[in-house]
This record gives sequence, C-alpha cells and structure tokens, in this order.
Amino acid sequence: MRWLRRVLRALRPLHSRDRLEREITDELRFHVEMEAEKLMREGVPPRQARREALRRFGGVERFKEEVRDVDGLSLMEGTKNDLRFGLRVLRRNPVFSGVAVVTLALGIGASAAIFSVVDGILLSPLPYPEPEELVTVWADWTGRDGPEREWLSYPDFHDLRTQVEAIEEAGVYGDWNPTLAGSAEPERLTGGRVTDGLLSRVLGVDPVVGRSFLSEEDRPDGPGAVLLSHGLWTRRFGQDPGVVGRTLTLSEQPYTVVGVLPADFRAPFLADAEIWTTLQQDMGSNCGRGCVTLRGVARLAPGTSVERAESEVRDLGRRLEAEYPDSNTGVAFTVVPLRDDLVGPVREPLWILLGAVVFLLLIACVNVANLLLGRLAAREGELAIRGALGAGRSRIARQLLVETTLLFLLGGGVGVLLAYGGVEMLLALAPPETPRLENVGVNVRVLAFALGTTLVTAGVFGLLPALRAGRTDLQGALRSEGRGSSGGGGRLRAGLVVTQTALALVLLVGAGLMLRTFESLREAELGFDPEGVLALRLSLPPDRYPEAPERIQFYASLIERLEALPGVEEVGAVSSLPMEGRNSDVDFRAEGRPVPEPGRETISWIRVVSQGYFDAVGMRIVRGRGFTAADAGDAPLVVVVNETLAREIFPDEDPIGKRITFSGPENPTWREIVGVAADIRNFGIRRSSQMATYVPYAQVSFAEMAVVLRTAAADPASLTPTVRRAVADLDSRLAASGIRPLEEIVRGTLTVERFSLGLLGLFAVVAVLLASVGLYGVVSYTVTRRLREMGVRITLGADVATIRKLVVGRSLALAGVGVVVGVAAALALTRLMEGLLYGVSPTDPVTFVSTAALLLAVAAAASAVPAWRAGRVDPMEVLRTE
Amino acid sequence: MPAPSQDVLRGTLDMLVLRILATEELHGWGISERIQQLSRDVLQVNQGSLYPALHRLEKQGLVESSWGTSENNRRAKFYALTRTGRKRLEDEEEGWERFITAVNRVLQGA
Repeated sequence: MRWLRRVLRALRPLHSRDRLEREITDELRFHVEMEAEKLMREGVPPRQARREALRRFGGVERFKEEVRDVDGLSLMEGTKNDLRFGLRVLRRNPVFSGVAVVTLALGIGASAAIFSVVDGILLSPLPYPEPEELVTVWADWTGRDGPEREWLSYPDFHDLRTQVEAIEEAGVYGDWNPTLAGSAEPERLTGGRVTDGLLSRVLGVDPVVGRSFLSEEDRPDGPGAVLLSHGLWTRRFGQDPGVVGRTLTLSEQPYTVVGVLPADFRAPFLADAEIWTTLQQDMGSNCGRGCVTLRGVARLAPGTSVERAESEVRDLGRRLEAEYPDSNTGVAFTVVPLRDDLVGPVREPLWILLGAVVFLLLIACVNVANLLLGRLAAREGELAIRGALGAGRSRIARQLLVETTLLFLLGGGVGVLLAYGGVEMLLALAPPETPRLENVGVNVRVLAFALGTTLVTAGVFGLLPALRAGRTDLQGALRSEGRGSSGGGGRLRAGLVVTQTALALVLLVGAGLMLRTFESLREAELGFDPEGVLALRLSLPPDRYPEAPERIQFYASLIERLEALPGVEEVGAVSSLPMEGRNSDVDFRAEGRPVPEPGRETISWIRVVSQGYFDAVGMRIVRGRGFTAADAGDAPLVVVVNETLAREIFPDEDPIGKRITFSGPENPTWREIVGVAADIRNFGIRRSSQMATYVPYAQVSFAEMAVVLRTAAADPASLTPTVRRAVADLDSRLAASGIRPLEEIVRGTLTVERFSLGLLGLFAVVAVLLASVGLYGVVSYTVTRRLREMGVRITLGADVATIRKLVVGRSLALAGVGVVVGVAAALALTRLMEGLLYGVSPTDPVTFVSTAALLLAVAAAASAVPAWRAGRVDPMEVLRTE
Repeated sequence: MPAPSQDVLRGTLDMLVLRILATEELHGWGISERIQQLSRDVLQVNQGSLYPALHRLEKQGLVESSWGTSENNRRAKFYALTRTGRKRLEDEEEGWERFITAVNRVLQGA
C-alpha cells in the first residue's frame, strides 16, 4: 500500500499546486529569516544580515526547484510549461519550424503511405473466414519436365477432395465469359464456373440475396444456375431483389438467377468475375485425367499444417501414379497457402519500396536533427543564461526534448494528412492487376505506424540536440557569446550530412538500376510488332455455329470485311494473343521418333492462326512459309513451328518437310512442318521462349478467337466503333469484347516495373533534394562561423577565388565521404533487388559512377551560394564585430 | 581519519538528519543549526541542500511533517521521525559502525 500512498503523493501536486508552492516558499522564507535574525543578534546590520543569510542559503530559486523536483511538482507542471514554451519558440521561428515540419511531414507521410500499401496487401488477413486454412491446389509436373504449378483434371480434383484427410473441402474453377442478351446491347461478361461448394463452403461466402448453389445444379444434366456479383446486380438490375428466380439468357442458354453475392466479396481468383455458374462436371462426364483445365482451392481441416497437407497430397499423387500410369506418371500434387499464391509476386517489390521509403525517412530526420543542432548552436547564449539562473542541466535537456517532440508530432500530424493524399495517388497509379488493392487505405494500423514512427524518430533524433545541450560548457559559451559552439557540434553536423549523402546515394543507385531495367525491358526484342495493332475477342455460340465450316466461313468473312476498312492494312485471327497469359498446351512428337513414355511427353503451346496472322502481328517467318489459302480443311495438314522447337527437336536438321503429330500412338494424324516462325516472348519479357506450334484456322477451327488488325492509324483504338459495326453487320447477336490496342497488353506486362521505377525515382529525387538542403545548411553554417577566419585570410592576401574553392572543396570533401560510404552500402544492399532487375547487374558500374558523379555535382552546386558569400566577405566588417 | 570533503555524501546527510530528529522534533532551520553544532563546523552543509533532503525523506516515509509555531511565534514546518525512520536509522548506524570498525582494524593492522 505504501506505493499507492507514494503515487497519490506524487499526483497530489496536480490538485494543490498553489498550496504546496506557498508552503515551500513559507518554509524557505522562515529559514532565511531565522538565519538573518541570528546574524543580527551577532551584530550585523539588518540589511546585510538578510543578504548574508540569503547568500549562505544559496540560490533560492534553484533550491526551490530542487525541492519542487523532489515533490514531483515539476514533473507535471514542468512538462506543461515546457510545452507552452516550446510552442512559443516554434512560433517565433516560423521559417525554421516550417522547414522542419515540412521535411518531417514528407518523410513520415511517405512512409505511412507505403506502409498502407504493404499493410493492405501483405499484412492484413484475407477477407474470408479462417483464411489461414485456405490453400490453392496445383498439379506438380516437374516429374515430367512440365511446370511446377499445372492445372488439375476433374478426376484428380475429385480424388483430392475425397481421399485427402487434411483437406476438409475443396473446389475447382474455370473461366466463363458468357454473352448476356437483354434489352440493351449484348454484353460479354467476365465470369467463372465453380463447383457448388467452392464459394459457399471453401471460401465461406453467403449471398446477400437468395442462396448459394445446390449440388443438383452442379451435375452435368442439372439446371443452369447463376450467382450475380453485387456490382453486376447494381449495374444491370438496379439492385432489384426480384432478380432472384429470373431467367437470364447467357450465350444463348437459359440460366436461373439463384442469388447475389455481397458487395465486399472478391474471389481470390478471377478477380473481375461478375457472374458465376456451376461447373457441371462429374466423374462420369469430363475430359479425362489428362485434361487439365481446372484450378483448385481448398480449405484444410482445422489445425492441419500446410506441411501435413502437402505430404498427404504427395502421397495421393504417388497412389494415383501407380493406379493410372498412362495419365498420371510424373504427376504430383502440391498445395500453396492462398495468401502466398495471391500476393507472392508483389512481395519483393513492396518490401523494397518500404525499405526505400525508410531511407527517405531517415534522410528527412537527419535533416531535421541537423537543423536542430544548428539552432542549438545559435541558442547557446540563451541556454547558458538559463543555466546560470538555476535551471538544472537535466531540466534544460528535458525542455529541449519536449520542444523537439512537439516539432516531430507536428510533422507527424501533417505527414498523416499527406499520407491520405499519397495513398490516393498510389492507388491511382498502381498496376491494376495488383492483388488486394481494394484493401489498401489509411486505417488504424497505419495511423499507429505513423505515430510510432514519429515517436521513435523524435526519441532518436530529438535526443541528439538535447544531449548536446546537456554537455555544453555553459560558462565558456557565455564568455564567447556569439562566437558559436565548440568544434564538436560542427563535427556532429558534418557526420550527419555524410550520413544523409550516403543514404541519398543508395536511393539514387536503386532508382538508377530500376531505370536501366525498365529501359532494357522496353527495348527487348519482342518477336512481333505491336505498334498500330488493334485486338478484339469473339466467341461463336455453338448452336448457331455448330460445325467447322460455319466457323471458318464466319471468320473468313469477318477478316474480309475488316481488311476492307479504311486504314486497315492486315487482319489475322489467333486463338490467344501474345503476352496475354492465355495458352493451350499440347503433347506432340516428331515422326520417326520413339513414342515417349507417359510422363515424358514433349509439350508445346499451340496457337490456331488464320493465314494473315503472322503479317498482321508482325512476326517473321525465318524458314519456309506461313499459311496460305491453300491450307484449307481438305488439304494436307500443315503446321508452322517456332525457332525454339526447331532448335530442340531438330537440332541438326532442317525441320521443313518433317512431320509431327498431336495424336496418340494409334493411327496418328501427321502434320507437315512448312515453316519456322521467329520466337516471341509469349510469357513476358523475362521468361525464356518455349516450344510453339501454329496450325491454320482452316484445319483446326476454334469458336473463340482473337482478331488482330494492323492499322496505319496513330491510335488504333480510334477504329473501335467501326470494328464493332463490322462485327454486328455480320451477326447482330455477337458482341466483340476486349477491343484494345495490342500495345496495351504489352505495356501491361511492365506495370510492376513501371510502378516501382516511378516510386523509387520519386524517392531518389526527394532524397537528393533533402541531402542538398542539408549540405547547403552545413556549409553555410561553417562559412558563417568562420567569417572571421575568411576575413583574416582575405586581409592576408588570399584572393576571392581561393576562398571560394576552399568552401566548395570542403563541401565536396563532405559529399565525397558520403558518396564512398553510400557506394559501400549500395553494393551490399542492391543484391536484395536482384529479383526486380533485368539486363543490368546489381553492381552495374555505369549506374554507380553516374549517380556518384551526380551527387558530387549537386554538392558543388549546393555550396555555390555560401562559397559566393565567403568570397564577398568584407574583412574590415568581420574583424570589427569581434 | 581525514575530514570528509565539503561535498557531503547524500547518505551521510540523510543519516545525520535522522539522528538529529531521533532525539527531538525540529524545524528545518533548527536541524541546520544542530548539524553545524554536531559536526563542529567540519561538515559545511550547504544550507539549501538540507530542504531537498528533508522532502526526500518525507517522500520515503522516514519523517513526517506538520505546521506549527516556532519558539519566536513564527509559522514553521516541523519534522519528526516515523517508526520506519527510526528503524532505518538503527540499520544505518549499524552499518556506519561496522564501516568505522573495519577501517580502524585495517589501519591498526597495517
């Protein structure tokens, strides 16, 4: 209980402050009076007695303070006083306060904004119940020279769902892009097909209106049912609850609306899906174990670790391999936590950005610390006097600490405001395919981060001037009032500037490397020429175009019409556009080669193209020929292969004239290779080329194709309405979708790099600005301090140019040290960026040398004004003021 | 033993105050005078540093204060030892005695 009494006693001063103040005064006055009386009794005259008594007592004020300190009076009182005094000081120096606050706001605001993004995307949990139980399920085809994450077949999915104990519930999904017929123009929707439990049981989402899918609706003969997204419900149905039960015509089939999904629901796949239907496959009806067209998501049993699930699915894989060797040899399964699958690709760039912004924050804080130290030097006279008046050293230090904390809090407050704006800007500029972007915003965690950063930086960087204040030789300062502080202060400031320069150099190097990466990516040879090319996508409904002849006829007519349009040079059709991310794979083998064992097939990706495609998209045929009208349905079957396939399958031979087949060993249909096409960077610029085959549309006709038009127009998108009309003229019930320039798709592969570059560049620019301001401050301060020395030198005959060279020299020396330290740090740190770079090594000498030179040039420029001032010093004036 | 320096050890001052208050209640000035008498002017206690010490002792619960009237009818704050303070004094004196004895033994033995 004693502690309680002590706490109460310590808090007491808050209430009876005046009373205690009076008591202390009374007590001390009593003492002095008694001493004075004693002296008077000894014969000292009253006035002298009083004075002597006071003198014997010591500084009354000081001891009042000490007593107050012991009483705990000053802890509360003093802080309030400090706050008031601190605010007054800040107000009286608006330029200093303004610069400091803005600098801090920049640093803290930028950090908070980036942290919002990191928090929203990487740190916050996924918006599904028990999200850590969710995993994506993949087939692992590395055992048959295939990809590490391949899609699943329906029978494999079924076994995974029923035979793996660790998996509580699983579902699969596939693309679905139906055309919605209605009173308005037919609209092509983005959607997905799912097994009935995927949304409701795996992801755990409940519709806000209506109900989820039933298992009857997921059977191959089941009724057509759809779930609408909230956005679609609002957009096309005006949020009418009566839409449940209505029948919609999608791709000319009837579907009943069974429910509407919540507004905040976004599936972790097919993020733009607006409409969902059931997959309607089962073990009896699907395309077999070799047909991998599905992607899987599963919910693990509560308490199961991912490692356990992984080992169980691998066991299943081995069992299936033994049971179905024809289809499953070399096929294993793997699970990946959903979060990693979703945000994995952006993890690295985001952490790098966070690191970069922390550097920026440090630079800003160092700047402010330097400003504070500079001001401290100017205030030394004032502080010395306060010390003489009785303020203890710790008291002065504490007051300074309060002052700087105030400054930092102000900076942090403005910074938070900046962060709001910053987040808006980041969201607008971010690559649209960035996962979980909708989750990014300034929330409580971000505010806590901002507050924490403010307090920590205030503590670390505010302590510096406060500690220096404690160590100042006050006596000495008073004596040489105006002369400025001891050399120690100057050294510390110089050290801070070196740190700033080093940090700025690291940021500059990072930005420079990204710039070169970006340039390399942009200049990379694509293999095709997207300039001026417009692309669109069409899907022919099966009931009106049931057979190949109808489809071939349609596309032939369409291409003819489009070619006739003014401004259009070439037109072609292709099953999937380059770099779009859609691909079909196919097993093949060359004639005369042994049939590969199951699991060892050669795989290539395959494109179905019209004869004009290669010209339309700007691809070269390096050997042989492309397709012509002669390659019709009844003509001999032909293919064109790409350079990679020619290299790998026919390394020492001419592939022209050789034959390959996609069929199995019984009665294969052979196709003759008539040409070799140049490789294109189909999977993005960074991925190497893989084997590809092209087959003529007349011989393998798909219903869904993309059409590309090479135009002479500067902006191919300007042809959009004409193209739409041409399609409608041929078939009014068809809707073309995804009409956009091919360049857009290509640019879309670079969005992450563009974004990173933009931000890093921005940070680097701000960092260089801050560093140069810091450098300017230190050099200018040094010049001011050594004005006298300059005056003497001039008197002694040094010419103006030498003085100026001295100043610039010092500045360059400082910057030089900073650059050296920065280069060392950058060499160590840039290897962390390696994953982001392309075409440039993390220790690229060109980048390092040019950024170093840039910083040194900036340093020279920053010292230009002080150097000029130093040269214009009037020695007489300077010497006189001493 | 050489005389202690002008800077009186805090602990010594506290102990002196406790010892003085062990015999009678006194106000601050009275304590100051008594210290001067007892130490025969060897310990030049900075008069001012007495008061923080007194307040510190009070905060620690070793002494308690009350306002009263002095011998010349002035209002003064009087200090008295608490039971805890008395106990602390005994412990401190014991420690001090042992220190003196040890030093003496060393001096005599050397």
